Amino acid sequence: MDFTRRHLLCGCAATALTGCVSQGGGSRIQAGHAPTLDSVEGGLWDIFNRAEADLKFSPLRMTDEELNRYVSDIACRLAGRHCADMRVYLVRTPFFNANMAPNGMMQVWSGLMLRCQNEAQLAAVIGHEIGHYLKRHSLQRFEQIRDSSTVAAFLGIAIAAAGGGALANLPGLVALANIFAFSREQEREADGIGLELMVNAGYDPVQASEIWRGLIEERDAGLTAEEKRDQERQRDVFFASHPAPADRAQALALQAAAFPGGKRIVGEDRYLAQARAFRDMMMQDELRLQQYSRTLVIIERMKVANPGDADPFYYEGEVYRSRNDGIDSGRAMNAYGRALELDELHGPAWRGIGILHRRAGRQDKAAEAFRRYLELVPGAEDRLMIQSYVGA
Amino acid sequence: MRVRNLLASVLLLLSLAACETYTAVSAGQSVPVGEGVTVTAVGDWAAVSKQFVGNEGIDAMWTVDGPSINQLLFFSRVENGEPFMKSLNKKVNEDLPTWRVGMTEPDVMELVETTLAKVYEAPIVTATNLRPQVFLSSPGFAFEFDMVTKTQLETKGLVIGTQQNGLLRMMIYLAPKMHYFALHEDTVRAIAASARAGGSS
Repeated sequence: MDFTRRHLLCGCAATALTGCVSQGGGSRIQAGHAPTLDSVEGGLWDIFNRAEADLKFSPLRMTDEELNRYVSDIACRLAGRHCADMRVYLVRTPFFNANMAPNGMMQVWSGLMLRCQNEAQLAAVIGHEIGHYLKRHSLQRFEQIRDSSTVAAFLGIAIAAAGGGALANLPGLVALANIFAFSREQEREADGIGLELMVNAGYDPVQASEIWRGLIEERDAGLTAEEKRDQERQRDVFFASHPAPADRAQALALQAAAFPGGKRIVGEDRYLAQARAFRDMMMQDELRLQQYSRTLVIIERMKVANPGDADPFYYEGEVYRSRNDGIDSGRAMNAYGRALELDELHGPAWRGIGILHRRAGRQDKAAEAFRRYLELVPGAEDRLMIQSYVGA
Repeated sequence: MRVRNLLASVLLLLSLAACETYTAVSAGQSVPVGEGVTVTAVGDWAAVSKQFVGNEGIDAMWTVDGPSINQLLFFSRVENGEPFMKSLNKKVNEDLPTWRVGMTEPDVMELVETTLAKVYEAPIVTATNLRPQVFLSSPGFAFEFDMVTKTQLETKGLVIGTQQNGLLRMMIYLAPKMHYFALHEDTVRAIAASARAGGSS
């Protein structure tokens, strides 16, 4: 009876504790640590071991071996002797998030990967999550709230988890986690550890603040000055559990400056080399959210990170073509044109131009653009429809 | 007062009980599915009563094994500037994409992807194999899509439709990817081929 009840309580807490950050103090977890099952920590681990078993077969997992190896290797370089205690899972979900469960299960969401400009920025977020793990923030958080009314809320989640509800829906689980996430002090501590791990692994720590600057730009995109102030006051669920983004970016920049200088890894090219194959898919998922102003911020950051890359201009064209508001057709046409200036063999940009011409009734020009598209992408999945436009 | 409330509750329950959840649609039967579209059933289906269909905008819903296993949805009259389907969750409807006269078929495919992702709160919807197909005796389109639902069920769908006379008319077949989609796929294609203009449900 005691075990069952504790197990349930732990499950609730565990559900809440996959989020980001915690209370300072305490030593770091030992490499190879495994709690006994009859301990509170053992209960937490057991719940997440079962969640991990589900995650392994989730259709949301991105299973490409090379990409998984690349991200896991980054985590390993950061984690050092704790490498063997962690498992990284790439999850196809178009939101900025990564999280670390107390048992060493880490999720990296595709929305985070889309937003990183380089390898060091991804390492910053992964390092932060490892910081939570090393300080056992999940366990600390549970110990803090177990005697408070919050436990009742956790209990509700645990019951849902027992029925397969919350744990069957891992993104939902993390959303719940964010509602009951760690304290700001814990977040700051994880930030500090993340920076330390980055520097130890040879990464440029300045990139940790850059990822937060990007999120601030994204959050404020398309808002008036007054709306931006409101946004700062009424932060959304993700930001509510974290230190204010502006404060965080500033603190991270200050801390990064305190580390000795020298040549550090930023890794724009090798990050692009790995992410490029999946970026179209990630961008399509992002476009489906129809948060066009925010998406344009992501694209602008891509342009800055890789100035010679045609894809960000193509994505910009896709944003305007999809929004199709006012003079968006003209904006889309310009963006596709810029993509073709950088890479005249960019087939999808020709497709976009063809669609714009066809919408406007310029059938000859549409056919010309579609022909170029089919020449460049002969295996296009919409080949039959496009051929019908061309008359081939 | 209490007796009157009780009586009202009983009457409400009785009226609900009188509602048919399903109506049989037998093989070979011609049935109007919305405004101006009639199809002939291939195989035996059950039409789900309007009040049990759920999402708004669906003119008719048919199923063989129950809506949680397979659904054939008919949209007979989507007008310019309107979403083709709405959720019962009003918040979801705030930023649904709309169909517009002059859209190309790739635009319509993206409209379907985005609408399904929002209305079904599906984390993954990926459409493929866009191709021309005659529907309602007019040039139209067809494509398939894979959808992972919010409970992580892998489903597959088939969309067949046409844009004619300032309207989008379309049918969507949706079923779990493993086993069930293929079970009635050919039947659905035959029903699409039987679609004729005319009739009202």
